[in-house]
Amino acid sequence: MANLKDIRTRINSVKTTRQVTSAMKMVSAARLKKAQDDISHIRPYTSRLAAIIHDLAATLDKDHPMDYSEPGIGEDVLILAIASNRGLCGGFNINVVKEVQNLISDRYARDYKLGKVKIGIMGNQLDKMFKVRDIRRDFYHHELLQNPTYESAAVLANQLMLDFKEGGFKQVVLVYNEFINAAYQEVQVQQYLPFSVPVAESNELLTEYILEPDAASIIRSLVPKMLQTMLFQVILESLASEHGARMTSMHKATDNATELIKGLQLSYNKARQTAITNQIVEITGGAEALKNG
Amino acid sequence: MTDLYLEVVTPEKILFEGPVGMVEVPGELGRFTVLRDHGPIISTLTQGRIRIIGKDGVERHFLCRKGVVECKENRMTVLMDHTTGVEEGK
Repeated sequence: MANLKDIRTRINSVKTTRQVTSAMKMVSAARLKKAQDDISHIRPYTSRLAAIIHDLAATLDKDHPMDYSEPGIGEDVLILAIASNRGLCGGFNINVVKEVQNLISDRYARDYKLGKVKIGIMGNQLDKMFKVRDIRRDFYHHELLQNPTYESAAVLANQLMLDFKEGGFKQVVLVYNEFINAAYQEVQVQQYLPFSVPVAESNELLTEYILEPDAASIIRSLVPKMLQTMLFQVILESLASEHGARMTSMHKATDNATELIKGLQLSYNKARQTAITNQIVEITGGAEALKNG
Repeated sequence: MTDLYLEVVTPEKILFEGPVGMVEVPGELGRFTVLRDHGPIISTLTQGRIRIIGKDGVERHFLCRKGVVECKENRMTVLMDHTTGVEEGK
């Protein structure tokens, strides 16, 4: 049995760990709250924008397809994986990695073999994991996770749109964790470009809109906006998921530490009791010996 | 009789929400005013000032750089780029 001092040291170290994990849990909880607020701010905008595009899509004739809604003229597929700059958040990062692996070994297997799959990465942890797995990374946007602003997301979105238009890519997909609730995230693969137009229900008679200046130019200005907002929302979702995941895993770590301390305390007490019993036995043994002598 | 209900939304927050008497927006082809029972309209917005007179009689101004407005069945939505959603002092 380990001696008393060893056990005491271990108990102390586990206690420190527990303090750290529980502090991290608190921090994540606070950040999660903020991230959720951010999402709730952008959702009305996205849904209203989608509603307008939806209404407009029905008024467009087939000869004038929406910008970015046709498959790109390029040959490459871009996979943009979004996860985290930091670890300690359970399966958050690895789930994205697995999904990307699935994509390149299944849906885009042929393109990948031909070297026609480009992988963009957001998150230092993802970079490390891809490196270990020997998957090529083509560009990074870690900074977007540190300080997510609409402008910076819009800049990236514009860049993607430009590349797409000029023949850089035929398709852009996003892989990210969708925020379902604080304890649950789901990895999503979302097609970003070409833009899938919300389908209008045909039986609904469309109101005759007055369009200023005209449908085509409205669409031309709305679709890029929609794409920017979509990207921004995806980043926000991913951030909220990250904090949720970290909160859950830190909660579990704190629980485990508590369990561990309980066990250690028990063995500490046992060891202490054994030591005391031994000492008493020795003392009484000595006294007996003196009496008899 | 339903009032014209207006929402002014940016990607970061809802700037204004409520029944209004009159909305004046800088449309791509010129400023125009929307009152109750306006026909359905979608228009892009350009740089300019959005002027709102609320049902409470308070007049509000928002600066707009780019945006879009939709109005249908007395529900009006103004979507603006977020950097421009500054409320001006009266």
